[in-house]
Amino acid sequence: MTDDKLSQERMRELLASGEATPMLAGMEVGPTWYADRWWYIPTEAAEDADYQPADPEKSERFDRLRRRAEAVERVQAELDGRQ
Amino acid sequence: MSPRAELREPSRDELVAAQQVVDLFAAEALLALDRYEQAFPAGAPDKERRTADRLAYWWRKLDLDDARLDPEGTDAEQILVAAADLALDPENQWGLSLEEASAQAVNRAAMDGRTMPATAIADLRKDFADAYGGRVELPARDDEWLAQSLTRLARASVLRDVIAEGAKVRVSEPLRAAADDLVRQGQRLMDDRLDLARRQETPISRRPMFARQARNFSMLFAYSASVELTGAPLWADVLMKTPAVALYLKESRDNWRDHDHAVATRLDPAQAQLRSVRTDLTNTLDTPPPVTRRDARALRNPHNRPPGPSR
Repeated sequence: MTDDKLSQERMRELLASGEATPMLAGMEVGPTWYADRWWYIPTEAAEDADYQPADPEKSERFDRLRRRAEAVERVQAELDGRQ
Repeated sequence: MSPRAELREPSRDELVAAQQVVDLFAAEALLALDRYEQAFPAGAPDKERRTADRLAYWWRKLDLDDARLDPEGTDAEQILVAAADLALDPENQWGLSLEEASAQAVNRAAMDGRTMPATAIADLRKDFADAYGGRVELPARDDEWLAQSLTRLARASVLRDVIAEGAKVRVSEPLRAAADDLVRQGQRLMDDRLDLARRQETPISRRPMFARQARNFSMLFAYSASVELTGAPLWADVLMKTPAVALYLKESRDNWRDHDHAVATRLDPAQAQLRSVRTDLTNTLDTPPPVTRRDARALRNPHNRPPGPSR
């Protein structure tokens, strides 16, 4: 690990320990919140590429997407509770 | 070049597949809204107002305003956007009917000089009835199906937008397995010999591309649907939980019947190929391991999900 890279293996460990949070439940790889910033792997990168931190603009967009994902999860929980 | 060094293509395939899933759930949501509207007794004075309120309630709750549904997208998407605009318009005291939303979608297309939506609600109803046959069994509560389908639509749109942001996305093995199982179960029931024969005629050179995109579609579809599957799901159970599956398979069969004509006449090669990809989906999936109920529940259980950043 360097200051601005995280291997996929390391990210899996962080997710397993709860130190990192995936944007979308059920994702093995995807935007992930860790150490007060968003990390992601660019689409064009190799399959085993490291995570890199998102720049401020992308972080802002990831924040908005996370809020939408949370809204979906809240409604899903409500619907599950109905059954 | 070693596999480790090989760069992947940009995410166009994933993005196209993700958009197809959004389109699919938009159609399902429209059908659910239609069912809600039709459930009122004939002549009910507050039908339009209550229909608008119900759509607005779930729309806002799911943050669907940020979902960027395409006002120039599929017919169903255009009608759904028009319906949402009516429902959310604070100056619209009258409410919402799908007839009015369809008319507005047509008007907008005409004013913008676009091809006008050709699909009416009646067409969607017919497709739905054809897809289900006599096995339809939908949620009992009035707005349950509407809420479920809009939730799937919202989830699919988030996934699409994450991909559009240029972020690599890979789902877990249980979800991949659930996707493959879901589609295989459906195909087993609905496929017929004619379609099978036609699939065998698919040019060999196109199969790798089919395989890649079919897997993408399958993966994204299952994630968006969040279908709860058992190790040996019954088809009826799957249909009950995700009516869009039936629509998808019906559409696939129809597209394959159109395939020969489409390539030769109506569609350009790219469009024809895209339609074909949908249909070839089930022919190219690997045999997955069985999916357990525990796998699926783990993904849906909010207690297993980290709360996410609170920013």
